[in-house]
Amino acid sequence: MNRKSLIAACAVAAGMIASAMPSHAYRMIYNTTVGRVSAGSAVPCSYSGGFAHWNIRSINWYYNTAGQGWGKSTALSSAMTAWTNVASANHVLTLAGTTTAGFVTDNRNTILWAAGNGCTGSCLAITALVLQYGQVIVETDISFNSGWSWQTSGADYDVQAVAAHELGHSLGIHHTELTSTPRPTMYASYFGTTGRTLEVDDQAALQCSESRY
Amino acid sequence: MCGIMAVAMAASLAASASATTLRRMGLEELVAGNKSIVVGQVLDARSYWNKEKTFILTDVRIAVNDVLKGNVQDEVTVTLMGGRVGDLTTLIVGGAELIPGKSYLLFLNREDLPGVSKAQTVRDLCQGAFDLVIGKDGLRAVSQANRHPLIPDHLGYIDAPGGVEGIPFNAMIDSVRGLAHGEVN
Repeated sequence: MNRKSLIAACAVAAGMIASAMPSHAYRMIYNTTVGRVSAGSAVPCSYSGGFAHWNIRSINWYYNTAGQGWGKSTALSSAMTAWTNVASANHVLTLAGTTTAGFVTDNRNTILWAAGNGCTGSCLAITALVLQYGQVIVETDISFNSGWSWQTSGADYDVQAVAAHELGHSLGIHHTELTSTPRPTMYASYFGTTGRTLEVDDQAALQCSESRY
Repeated sequence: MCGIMAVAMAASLAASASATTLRRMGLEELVAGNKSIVVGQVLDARSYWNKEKTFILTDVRIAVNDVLKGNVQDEVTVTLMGGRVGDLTTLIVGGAELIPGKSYLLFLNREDLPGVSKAQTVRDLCQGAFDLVIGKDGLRAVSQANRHPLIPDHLGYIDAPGGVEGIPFNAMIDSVRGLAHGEVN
């Protein structure tokens, strides 16, 4: 096969792979095994084993203003509003106030900036889910790494975009497998302020979760 | 060739799944940033509440087969965030997964975890743990970060070291030892 033919054949193959991808490729977080540390697997919404989910609709969040947490309330609220506004889904995320709490299991959903909490070095932000029997989420916390510079002006790293992404995880949504543009907020990599806005794939993930549970 | 490209593309698409936001670390950065690097087999894992009862941690006991960097005994206990106690599970999205009976190459450091000061842990979460798997050409080290796509590093690289196919185990050992001794491979 000559070079031109090879390139053409590869382009066709790539096209076939791309067209085989579903228009919705969201994935949900599945707690893999009982009794050991789990990082959470990515499964489709129809997965027989179910996935992490809330069984309440109203989810209150508190944020710690220490360190870089100061001045971030508007960005955090906007990220929550994006998920609250998903049509045909009834979750209401509210920034209910401030807290001095850390990354701890205390029945309070907390967002904070810290150096530590298992998120140092290359880690920008970490999300922990606390699950009860049946993969019911009873608490979730997000710790931003204060070793990085966090911005609300649109510069890197954008608080609202990363918060929207991590809040998606807090709702039981894993990373999407959709790679086309516009990229969903739950795409597995940071891509700037565009991540502030939820795409159809993100919305479909929450809608599917709510229709199942 | 095209087949390889197509398979590689399909594999990379299928591998997209993760959570916690991590910037990509190359092997050089992993070696430089961690005090200890070991190859070992997980003996057992025990989850518990920390002293303040504010966070579930898991101690993973590892029989060390080889020390590539640092001063490590024949057995080491690695503390990870998350685990299960009673009917409560704490799940760390993007964390390292260490399963009893399986072997890993681990990049370890002492870090503050909730309620524990300077615990020996896999600091870089899934990026600091390599599964040892048998490939068609022998043993390979495959980064757990392949299941957790990464933010590009300063050079624009996005794949975990070795990608989905991993790195031949012996080559990995040589590279890590070389980097740990300040050599450039």
